[in-house]
Amino acid sequence: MTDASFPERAVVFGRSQHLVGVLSTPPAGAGAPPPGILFINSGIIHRVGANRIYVRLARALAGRGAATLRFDLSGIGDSSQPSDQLEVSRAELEQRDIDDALALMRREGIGPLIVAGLCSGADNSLAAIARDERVSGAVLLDPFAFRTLGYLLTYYGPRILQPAVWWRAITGQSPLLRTVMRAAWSKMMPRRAGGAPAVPADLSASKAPSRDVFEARLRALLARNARMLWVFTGGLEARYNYRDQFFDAFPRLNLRAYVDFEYIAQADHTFSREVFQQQLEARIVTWYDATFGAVVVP
Amino acid sequence: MKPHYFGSTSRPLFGIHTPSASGLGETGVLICPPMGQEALRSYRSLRLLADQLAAAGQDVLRFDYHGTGDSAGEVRDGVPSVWLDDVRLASQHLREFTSVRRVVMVGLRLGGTLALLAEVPAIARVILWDPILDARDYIAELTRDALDATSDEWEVRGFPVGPALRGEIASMDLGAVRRVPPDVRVVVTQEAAALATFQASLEARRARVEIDRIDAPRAWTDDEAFGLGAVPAGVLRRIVEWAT
Repeated sequence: MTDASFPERAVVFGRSQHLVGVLSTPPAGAGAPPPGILFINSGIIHRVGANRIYVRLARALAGRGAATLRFDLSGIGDSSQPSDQLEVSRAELEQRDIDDALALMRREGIGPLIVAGLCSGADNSLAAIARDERVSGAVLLDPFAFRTLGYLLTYYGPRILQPAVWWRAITGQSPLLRTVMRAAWSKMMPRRAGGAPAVPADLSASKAPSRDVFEARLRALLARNARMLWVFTGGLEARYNYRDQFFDAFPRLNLRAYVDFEYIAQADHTFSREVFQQQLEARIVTWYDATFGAVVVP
Repeated sequence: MKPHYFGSTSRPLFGIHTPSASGLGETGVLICPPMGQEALRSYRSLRLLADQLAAAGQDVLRFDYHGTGDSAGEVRDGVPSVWLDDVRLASQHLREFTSVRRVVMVGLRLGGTLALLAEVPAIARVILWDPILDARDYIAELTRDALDATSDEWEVRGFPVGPALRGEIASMDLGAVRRVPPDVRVVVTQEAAALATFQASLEARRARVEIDRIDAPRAWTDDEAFGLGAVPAGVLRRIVEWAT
């Protein structure tokens, strides 16, 4: 069923015909087709997104003429685990699925492509845009974040006078302190020859990347003028706890000049409050318009 | 698996048909999901239930109510009076889409309540999985989970529950069902105070009622911070047995 007033249709696709999604192709205005957006699962929540937020965003973007595809990765939601791709790792399979989804959008004649996702969906989006130069933009909601000195000060500042905190630190029970000590130790150890690694061919989204790999990936994306909106929430407090942490994590990159950014301190990780869903929707639509030109479909 | 939209072009519903593995298509099973966060958490269990029913020879239709999942509509548009029409439409669609001769309905939580209240004609059996039997109990649950139950617009675990939705839920009364299905099976993983009254009420109206209690995790809510509910294998097995 297709109808101008409801531009969504169900699709089954993928190299093993194992993927299920909903493709939205709103009527295009005059001129070049506006960029389309691919939404990638967050964790194991199916394609509607946490609290149905992908549906909300897809429909808001349809109002700007943007085609979207929200789909389920292999084994999630309605998509099957392909029995003929057992030889590949989970991370590689997910990137293959994303390739299949992007290929479907291209076959549909959808213009430049943007990847978007929350949490692991953001990590997968970043891996996809780093790997595929034809992807021109990304919306990254609470992606992996690196802790900084500012993070530690923000975390420990209010706790510094609490005896229980000192006791845990002295007795080695503080997981954060253990992480910091490990990081300090690894920095003191001699580095292998070759300096910072290049962006590897296999960008595994399921593992935390090293800061060097992450920085190299960012540098490559900036060099090719990839358009990115990074959004962090207060819900990611275990890894991200103050506005500028993202910029402080990569002081050698002039990220402020090249990426769009939002920190929504009061929002939880899945945007469960409607007020923050509205705020996120408005931020993404504003970014989309400002970056790619406002096209309001009547 | 055949995902598709059905119903009117102005208000389409999203459905997924899982065809019978045997291809015989004698019995069709319509699965009615719960609402709100419970629908997201139980999505995997209901998908696996559909797979198992299809493997056992049934044609299965899952669907999203208006304003939920991939169906058209805003979350705030979804209320039981609309969803009851959706259940009727989906059962009709299942018959037309598959040419099955016998229809069984399965409903989880509020989906079970809707399956009964929809009063769809010629249903062979209704299987209720931890149904909402007493609207007051459900409203009490929603009140407990609401971020601010003193406000007019509640938010319950990521979904708005406004006064219209609450009002319609509060007025749901299984005792008012006129077309009682001849055969009702109930599987519960948590004891419900209203179960005995519900059973007596149906049996007084000549329905056969069978209740099974299975110790299993709650598919619609048990989880970590933002995962899915557990899949209760024993419950799915019992439902497949009953639907076959």
